[in-house]
Amino acid sequence: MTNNSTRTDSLVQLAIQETPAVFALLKEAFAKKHPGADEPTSAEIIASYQSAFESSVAKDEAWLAAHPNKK
Amino acid sequence: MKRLILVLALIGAACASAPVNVTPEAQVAFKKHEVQKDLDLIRDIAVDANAQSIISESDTRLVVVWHESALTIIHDTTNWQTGLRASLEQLQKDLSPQGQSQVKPYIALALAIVKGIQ
Repeated sequence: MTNNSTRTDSLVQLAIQETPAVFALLKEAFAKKHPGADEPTSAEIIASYQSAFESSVAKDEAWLAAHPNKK
Repeated sequence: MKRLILVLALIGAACASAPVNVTPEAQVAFKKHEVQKDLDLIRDIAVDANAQSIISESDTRLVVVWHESALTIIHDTTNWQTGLRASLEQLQKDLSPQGQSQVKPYIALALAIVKGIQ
């Protein structure tokens, strides 16, 4: 268990270091292959965030309601 | 392996840049949404760990209460980065050693991402 945990931590560290560069390359390749791909509008972006905020807060409140603090 | 996939998802969300032809308000909303996804992961990991009895209910409550507060800070304030960093650091201190063992790497990653935005 300890060896697996150490190995996973090392992989996590490697991922933290290397993933931004990998994503940047993938994004560039996608943009070249699909120029002018449809992008969301300003209204869609704002609405998406608002919806995500409300549903995530609701999820918190649901968990807290289901697990009342025992005093 | 599951942790590695989650970390890649977190970093991927942080790497995303806002679409170019949108209003400043939409760019702000986009960035806030990306940060929220990272915080959602911390909450979800804690709730899942609690469901499997890996971390205590009190630790999970700490994370959930923090999460709701953090999301509200991001949503309602302009200079949210400083408050969010402080709350993440405080959460790290407040968790028990067992709770820390589960979420500490993700809190550290979220801190790094928020620092990158400031």
